[in-house]
Amino acid sequence: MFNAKVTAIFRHELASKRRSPSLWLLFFMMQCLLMIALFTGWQQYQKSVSSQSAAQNLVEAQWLAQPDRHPHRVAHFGHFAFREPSVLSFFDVGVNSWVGDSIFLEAHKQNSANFANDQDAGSLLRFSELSSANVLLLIWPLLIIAMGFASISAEQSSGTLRQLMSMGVSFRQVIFGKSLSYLLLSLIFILPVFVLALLLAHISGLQLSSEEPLRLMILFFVFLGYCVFWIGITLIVSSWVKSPKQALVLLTSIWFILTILMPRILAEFAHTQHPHKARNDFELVIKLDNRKIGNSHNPNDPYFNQFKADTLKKYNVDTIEQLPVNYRGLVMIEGERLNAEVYKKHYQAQLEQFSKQHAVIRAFYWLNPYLFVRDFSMALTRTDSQHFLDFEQQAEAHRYARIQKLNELHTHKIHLHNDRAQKVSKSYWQEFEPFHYQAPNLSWSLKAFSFFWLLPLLAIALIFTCLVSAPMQRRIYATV
Amino acid sequence: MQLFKLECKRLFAGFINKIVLILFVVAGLFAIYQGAQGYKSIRVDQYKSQVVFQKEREHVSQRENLPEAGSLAYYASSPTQWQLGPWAALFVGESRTAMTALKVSALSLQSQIYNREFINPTQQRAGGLDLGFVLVYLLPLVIGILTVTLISDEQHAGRWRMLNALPKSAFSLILKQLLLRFAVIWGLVAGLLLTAAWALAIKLDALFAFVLIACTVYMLFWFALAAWLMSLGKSSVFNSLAFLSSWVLLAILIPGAIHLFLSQQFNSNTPLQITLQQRMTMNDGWDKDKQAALDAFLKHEPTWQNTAPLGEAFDWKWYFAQQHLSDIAVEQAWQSYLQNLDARQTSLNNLSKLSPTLFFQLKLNQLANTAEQDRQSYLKEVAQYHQQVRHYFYDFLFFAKPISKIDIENFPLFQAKQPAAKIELVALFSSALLVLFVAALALFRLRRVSPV
Repeated sequence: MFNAKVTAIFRHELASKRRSPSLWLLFFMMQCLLMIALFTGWQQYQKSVSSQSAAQNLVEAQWLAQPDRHPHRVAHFGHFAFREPSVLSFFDVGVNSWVGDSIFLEAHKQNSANFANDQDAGSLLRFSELSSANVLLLIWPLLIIAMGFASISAEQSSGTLRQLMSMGVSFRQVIFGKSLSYLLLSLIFILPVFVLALLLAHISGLQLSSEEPLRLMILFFVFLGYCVFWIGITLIVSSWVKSPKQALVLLTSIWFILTILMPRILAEFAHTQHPHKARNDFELVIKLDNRKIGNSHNPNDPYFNQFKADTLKKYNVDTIEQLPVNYRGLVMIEGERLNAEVYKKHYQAQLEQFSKQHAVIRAFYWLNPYLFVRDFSMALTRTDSQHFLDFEQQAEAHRYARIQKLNELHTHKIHLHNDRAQKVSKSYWQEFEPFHYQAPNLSWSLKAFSFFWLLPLLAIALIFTCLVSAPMQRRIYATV
Repeated sequence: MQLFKLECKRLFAGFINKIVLILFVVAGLFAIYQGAQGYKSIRVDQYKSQVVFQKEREHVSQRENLPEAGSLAYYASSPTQWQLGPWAALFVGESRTAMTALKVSALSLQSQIYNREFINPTQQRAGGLDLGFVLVYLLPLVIGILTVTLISDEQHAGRWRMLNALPKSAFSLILKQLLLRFAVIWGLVAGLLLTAAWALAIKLDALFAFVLIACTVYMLFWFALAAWLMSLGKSSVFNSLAFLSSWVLLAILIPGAIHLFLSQQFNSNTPLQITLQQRMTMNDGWDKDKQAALDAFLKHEPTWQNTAPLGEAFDWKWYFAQQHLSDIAVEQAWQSYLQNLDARQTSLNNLSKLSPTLFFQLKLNQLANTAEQDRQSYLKEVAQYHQQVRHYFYDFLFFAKPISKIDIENFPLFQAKQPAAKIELVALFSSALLVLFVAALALFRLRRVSPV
């Protein structure tokens, strides 16, 4: 396959692109755009890291500086969990604008992550941010189209294809040579931004585990594959449609449908098919379920009366005053446990709806690799919903552990008699571990994709098979 | 007439033309359907919140012993609503990510207003598809595909020179073709808007006419741009690429750059700092002199200054005084945050003039009361209502008045302000004038395109 003829076509195509001043201009402008996107993304990332870690340090200090207090007071004082942006978030901002960075952790209540950065999103973020990943996903395909829409159709209409074929060059060789040249151009185009991203990731240092370069490398190959997909589409349309102008219009229409229309329609459709609960509904069902279980503050509550009887039996005493521990603390522990269970049940139901919504989108990976690359890139840079939800769950686990530890203090260090007036020593506050979000590793990040990465590859393979297939060749040979 | 028929045939003959027009209509209908669904769920949420509140209120008044005022104030949260008309179904703006039925209680305001709607962030990342999107972003591409190669196609086919030789100039022919396309697309836009009006029971009033005229002006802008590109006399491919680049610039790059600029300029973590400080003030209050706190509170709320001094035991009135003090402690930061948001809006409104696309999008959202400004004024309404709720409870808390069933019946409810009609005639006229000027210029140039 790879022979002198292919090389000649490859060289010729490169040379013709090199001579085009408008392509140079577009290339240059796109590189500028990418660099601006990368750099501002990096600035935002650094700003966000420093403000998050400052806030995290502040709340830790506030926690440690507490005076002697009743543990339940401290449980209401609560704590905060912060989500530091992931190292590569400056490359792909993902869903970060839409989700909050911090969660207030308190007793009895699971709060939402607040303070998202999405002011004016309804008018400014309709094409998402100008991040490097987004530029590569949305705009770079347009440049591939601009480079290649005429590659076959123009040769056909100007008659050069006929000459080539009369010289014994097969159509396959033409396709192969041209694809290679566009691939090389794509490589030259996208490599700088990845190198720079690696450099910036290295500068931002601290967190850089050995995984980040690997993630970037995979990302690079995924984007290269994405380029191959668009090269394939461009060549196939250019071969099938006779006039260059029509090829261009058709290609831009395909671009519009795949990258702009379809993702939106699918997302909206998935939401209507598998709706999740709105905040008010979600909180209402939790409240009602909690009420069903019982009210620990109500002395005549059946559930907690049973709990009381069981506790008395367990310690083999007759009244709660005789218990070696503080009964109110035990009630707190039990209440928190039940409450967390109820929350978890409904939260899981929400997550299920989310994943059903996502399944609808995933079902189209094979047809529209844009969707795949978008999601894959967000997963690799740890900026997709999955990672955000993981943060929420880690924060909830931390909240639960922290509150229960306080409830243990309540049970063992506070006496039942005159409970509210007592305090425990501030030295206990030093024994609490600070919250640190544990960023998941690569295999976790990609587990949602299991074998889905095969689908877009299949799509690419299909496109190129079509390109060199017999009907396509017949069509080409018939018209030259 | 014959010519008209011929032109119609030509317009609908092209495979791509047909596909593009069908796509436009289908996307529009889908957007209207989705918008109606989303709007319905907002209304259901708002309505449900009121029903739930009524139920809770009945539940409380049916109890034999009414709860003490402090405990009631602690647990009772009442619904508010972001007043949204049916236009919000078509131009969704911020209404799908922000809370539209926030509940507030008499506890500190700052601990309640930052709650967010439960969203699937992936869905938001995709960008959403409302009728606004179809009109603002898809419409220009339809115009481009149908018009921008009109002359160059004639040139390519070799008819241009011939047409120019005819007694009726080629210009008038091109003008007719443009008018036909304008009429067809305008008809589709009007059809979509009428369908939406029918589906959502939108009144065909001045506002509707305003939207339709605004759409017409916006269409005219893209037609003018296409005509100007045609007048350059370049090839079809050049024209198509130039039109597409303009679209990418105006629709994606300029708004993206403005977003970057605004986030650099105005983003602050003030809400977080406010929350942290408010929480500290509230909690430190437990370890401080409670009578001093109450006195400080009464300076801010002199209406209740004749309240009895605090005793030894826990007193709800101290608790709610401290809640309010924690709000006061961050009042300045809150006000400066609101000012920051205002400044951001002003900046955005000014910068949006760089891109007609963004400008139109903003205006549509403002018209539907779903823009960021509207979210902010809703927040301010919530803040006012919060004060009403607070003051309602203060009588019982500070004057030790027992709460009665009648009092519970008289609990103040949130009154949503009817948003003022947002027909911005000045903005419409000035942009119409500007667009007409550009269009006239383009036509003038078009007239002089030499026969090639």
